[in-house]
Amino acid sequence: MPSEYYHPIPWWVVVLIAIIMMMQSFWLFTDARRREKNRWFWGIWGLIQFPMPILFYSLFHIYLPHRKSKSKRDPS
Amino acid sequence: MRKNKSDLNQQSLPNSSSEPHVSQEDQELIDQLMLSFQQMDQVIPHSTAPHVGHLEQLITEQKLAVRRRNQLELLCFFLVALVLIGGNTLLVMTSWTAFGIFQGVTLMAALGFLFGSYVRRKKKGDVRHAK
Repeated sequence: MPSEYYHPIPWWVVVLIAIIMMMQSFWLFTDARRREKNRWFWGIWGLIQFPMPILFYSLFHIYLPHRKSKSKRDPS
Repeated sequence: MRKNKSDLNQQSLPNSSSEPHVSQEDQELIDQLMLSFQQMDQVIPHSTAPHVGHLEQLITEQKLAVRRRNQLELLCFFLVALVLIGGNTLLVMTSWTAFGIFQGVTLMAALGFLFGSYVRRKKKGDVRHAK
């Protein structure tokens, strides 16, 4: 393959990114399965990007429902 | 009419306190009914309460099946993960532009899906409080 079409990346960077992606996506997949919230969507998105999926998941499925239930329990 | 009804009730009261009078025809019907009940009891097996051990075994089997299904699903997800991470690595090594476009398209699609599902849920009516 010609050098201008190939940009080698150090192997440890690839491994580090792969580990981060795997950890993120596995957590998203298992947690979304537990909460019954589109596990395949969150898992696959977690495999492609970091840290957007985990931020959006935390916002939509953890933080906002928690705040909603808290405001229902304590209206004042 | 009302008077007649009350008269009837008053007449029936002393009868209800004493031994009920059963005519021959009624007695025959009752006998037939009892016979039918006995026949039904013979035909239909007596239902007994399930044993606790049997129920526990059912629960254990169900839990095992769910765990096995989850493990299989996780294995499938692992295979998908290998393909996606390998593909992304290849893409980033081949062309940064293509990788950037892919990332942008993915982000847009994911946000679109999230927004769409949010709108659909709002239209449908969020009934989480009913759970």
